[in-house]
Amino acid sequence: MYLNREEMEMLDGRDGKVVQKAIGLLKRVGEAYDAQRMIPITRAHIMALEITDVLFELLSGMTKGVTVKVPTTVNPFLVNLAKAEQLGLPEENRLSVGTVLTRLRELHQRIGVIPTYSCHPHFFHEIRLGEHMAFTESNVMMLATSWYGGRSNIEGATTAMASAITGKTPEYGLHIKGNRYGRALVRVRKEKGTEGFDYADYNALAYWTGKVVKDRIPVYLGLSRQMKISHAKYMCAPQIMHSCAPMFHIIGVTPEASTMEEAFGGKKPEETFAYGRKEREKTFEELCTAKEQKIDLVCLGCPHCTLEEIADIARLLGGKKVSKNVRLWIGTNEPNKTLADRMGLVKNIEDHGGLILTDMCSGTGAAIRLGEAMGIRTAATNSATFAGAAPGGSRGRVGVWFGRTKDCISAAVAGKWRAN
Amino acid sequence: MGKLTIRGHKASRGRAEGEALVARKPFEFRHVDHQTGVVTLPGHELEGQSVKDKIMVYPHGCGPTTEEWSLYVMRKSGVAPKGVINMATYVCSTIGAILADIPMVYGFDENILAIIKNGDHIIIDGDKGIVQIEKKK
Repeated sequence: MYLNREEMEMLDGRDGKVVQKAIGLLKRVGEAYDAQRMIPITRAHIMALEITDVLFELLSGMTKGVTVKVPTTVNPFLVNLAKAEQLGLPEENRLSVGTVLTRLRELHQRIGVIPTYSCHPHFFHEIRLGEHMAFTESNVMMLATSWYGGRSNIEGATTAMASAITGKTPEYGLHIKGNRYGRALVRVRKEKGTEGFDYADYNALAYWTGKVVKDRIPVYLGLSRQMKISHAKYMCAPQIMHSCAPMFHIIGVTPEASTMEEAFGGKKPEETFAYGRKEREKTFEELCTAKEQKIDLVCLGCPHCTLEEIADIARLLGGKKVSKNVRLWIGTNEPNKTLADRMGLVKNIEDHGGLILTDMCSGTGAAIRLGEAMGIRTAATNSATFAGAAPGGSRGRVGVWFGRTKDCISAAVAGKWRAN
Repeated sequence: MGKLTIRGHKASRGRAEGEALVARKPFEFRHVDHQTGVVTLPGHELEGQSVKDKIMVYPHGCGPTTEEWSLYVMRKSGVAPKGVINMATYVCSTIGAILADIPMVYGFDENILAIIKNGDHIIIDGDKGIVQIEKKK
């Protein structure tokens, strides 16, 4: 791989051992994919979740005495300890997770990270089509590449951090236009009435697609041209659950797919799949792992809710009270919560028994990792990411009902899944 | 019986040999207990089996980006596999192998899942991108 003078100096250790190790890691990853050179990046997104002591030591060593060179945002924490009481998190768990959270927050402040603590930090990133960046976390990265047309590979926490502190990434994979074309076509059947698609439907579609396309970038045909970022956000992480293709296109919607020819780079799809009623029902069924009708939690906002979704939830709740035996968690980020608060939505939801949570991963983080400690055995959600991660992440201790947002809200009010 | 040699793309350097453990579906080390090396996901095709010191063979990695540090943590706890062989490549699996210093090779003309069976003796060379297979007797 060709390195310019600045990069050679980094590798020679002239900017210190930390930078030397960072550029060394990026070089090794680049070589695994035949990268020809390093390219500058303009932004990065790093990780704050699932960081144990061993991993904290790794990240801490990687950032000793340096600061980030590009605007860098960060994913949520496992839990927001300021909300521990309302979450029902026992004292002993607060202590065990508290130390690493405090140390991480200090690390982020020291190196100059923008403390978004969100898996939907796109309010900050106004990404330009073709902009090169280094993003970790499947949801954040896939939305950045697919919806905005930004160029990033699916980075790990370490490579994203290495890029943030060097301002470089190896040029391979999705940084190169030729690797971004679709290879498999997914026809979403008209019978489905895609305009009526709920967030859960986009989830299920992407989850199913990941399984069939395997390592090939999918191109969706037949989705509504009026679909919004609130919908596309649910098509990211579910795709990667069984696939290694970290991008998708939607004909007539996403910026590199105005036509079939553009999306496939003038080639024919290698394979075509059809998604209809049968595939949808099978996927919804597969994502439901709960055994009991009675639920302890309804978890929405995985990934973090947009303002539009918070308004949807308030409307669906419609002044009804959440059952006293159920917790209704709605994950979002601080800017959205501030706006929702000004719109009266936070008070509306919280007065009726819901809880708006920021800075934390309520679904795949807290509900799965700490669910047992908080007395959560059965949860309902509109998120395939949460539903798909629950059996493995909780070692079978948290069962999940997966369904549309309105069914989740009805369950929160009734205290049971599908009470009718 | 002779050895069969196949060529792929080098992903992570180093050389190792050991017994093959094959997953037929996309695999992620998130479903392995990082302290014991045993696959714990209920209903998983490898549930209850240990990946420790094995040469892991599977179609490709997948799952959350945290896949990146699973191998690193397992290496620290002494339960990591000795090598990884994939057909397609998932960037976070590759970063994982590099961080853990475990040889990895991907991308073969041959269908490795049809060739390699559980228990075959494998030599993986991550510097050259070569895999040698000695069939189990």
